[in-house]
Amino acid sequence: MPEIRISGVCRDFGHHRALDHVDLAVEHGSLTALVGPTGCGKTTLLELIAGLQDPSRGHITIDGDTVVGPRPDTILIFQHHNLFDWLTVRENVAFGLRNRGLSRQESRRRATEQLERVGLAPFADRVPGELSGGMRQRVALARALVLAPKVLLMDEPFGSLDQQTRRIMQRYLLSTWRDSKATIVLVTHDLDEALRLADRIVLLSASPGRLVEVVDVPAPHPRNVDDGRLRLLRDRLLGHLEEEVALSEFAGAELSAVPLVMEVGGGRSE
Amino acid sequence: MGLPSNIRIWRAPVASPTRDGAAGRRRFNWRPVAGLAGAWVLLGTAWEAGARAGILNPAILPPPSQFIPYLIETSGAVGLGVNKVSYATALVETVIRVAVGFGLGVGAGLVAGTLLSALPWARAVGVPVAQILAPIAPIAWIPLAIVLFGTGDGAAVFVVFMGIAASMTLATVAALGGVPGEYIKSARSLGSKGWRLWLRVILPAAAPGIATAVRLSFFAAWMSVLAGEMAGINSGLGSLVILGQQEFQMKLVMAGLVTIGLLGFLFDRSLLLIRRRVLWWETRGARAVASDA
Repeated sequence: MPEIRISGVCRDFGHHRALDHVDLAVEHGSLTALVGPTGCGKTTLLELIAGLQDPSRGHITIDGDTVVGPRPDTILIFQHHNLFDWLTVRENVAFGLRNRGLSRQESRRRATEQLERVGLAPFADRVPGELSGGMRQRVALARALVLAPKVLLMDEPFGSLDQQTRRIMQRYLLSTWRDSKATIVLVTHDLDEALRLADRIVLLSASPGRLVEVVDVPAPHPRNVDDGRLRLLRDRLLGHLEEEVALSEFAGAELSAVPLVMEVGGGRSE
Repeated sequence: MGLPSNIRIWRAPVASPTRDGAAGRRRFNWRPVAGLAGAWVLLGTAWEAGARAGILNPAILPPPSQFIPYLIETSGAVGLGVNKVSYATALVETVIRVAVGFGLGVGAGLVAGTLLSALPWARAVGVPVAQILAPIAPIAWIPLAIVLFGTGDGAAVFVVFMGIAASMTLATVAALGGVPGEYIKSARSLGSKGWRLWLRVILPAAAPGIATAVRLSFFAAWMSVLAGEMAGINSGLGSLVILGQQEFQMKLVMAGLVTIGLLGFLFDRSLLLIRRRVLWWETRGARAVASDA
């Protein structure tokens, strides 16, 4: 039974349609990557699943319950402004526990345990301003995982990190995810990241956001994205993605004058 | 390619956090204090030297060696009868006026700004009202203040209050409105809502912006009270300086000016120290540099 079911979801902002009839089922314990050009509604879709916005049409269910607001078992992690600068690392991790009505002491104890589990205990009394970008995201992940969420939603979580840190964080995510058994939906614009992490890649078109392609990636971890099958897949998705980017970035007249898409798309497909 | 995935990189050598423990970080920094003392000594020496060399006319710009002893001997009184103003009384009066007016104005601005931010329908009416009140120069309130409260403490406090309350309200609305949406969404996703969301996330996130507005408000308040005292609310430091000029007691005028500068500086430093204490996280880590000015 799928954990998250998205049925005929549209999201309008005034006259602008950000998402158009999205249907998607996300399996329990899977890792799904949403890929698409800027402005394709990836983040909107994530916030709809998180219950931070309501769909204009259609509905989303988690575990069979319709999402009507933020749920305790669904946590969203952003790229920026994740940790609260005015709380120590320990207090940040305890934040969600306090909101669940746990006592200050019990929250702190569990937060400390979680930080010990992931090797961040020496930094418990630091403030986020003293941490590196990668470490901030590790704390953000610890803060989500301490709540034992069923669904973990991540909006370009490693987007602001340098290439090397990002690779390490991807491996970090895979290993912590296996222990947590959470269902992850991750937004990224980095196709290689999607190929390295995801069981399923969902490609969205530019505004309005529609599902263009849903691809299962059956390869076992750890993956090498330069491996034959994955490379074929990457080339196909890249062709699609560039086509979508070109369509959202350039006007129709420009595209007919400068054959950007035809060349790239034609060369890449198969 | 890359590292083999069984490498446990996340448990790998963590940089020792003992390096910059609390003791090392909190060491007192003498450089700004030395700079401040040096600047005053330099200014005083140049002033004295200029007066002795005859470049500065001591009758118009009496040097510290003249106005400081003068203050001690005469207790700096000018004026006659009901208009008599003494230095010490003037100083106390002005400090109390600005402190009360500033406290009330900042407090009202904070409360009004928070309410306007929290209630969209109130914001639609309240923000335009504040936008009309804010550009009225504080001294423009003086005639009204004197009519309402007479010449005295009430009028001075009113002028200070009117000079800062509206702009403080707008600054609070702006600071609260500028809180990144991700903070609020993260907090809601982690189960925070209602007044707890305000208290634990929105207000702390807006606090640096509000603190800057508070500091700027003090300068406006300081100018308001002095201008008010010069322009009709007799008594206080502003009035002392004006009376000194009218009676050509330039030593008193100079003493007044130096006092005004020094008091303003002390107030501003106190606000900065309070900010560092309240927004303690700013002085730690990468952001320490930004808040130092």
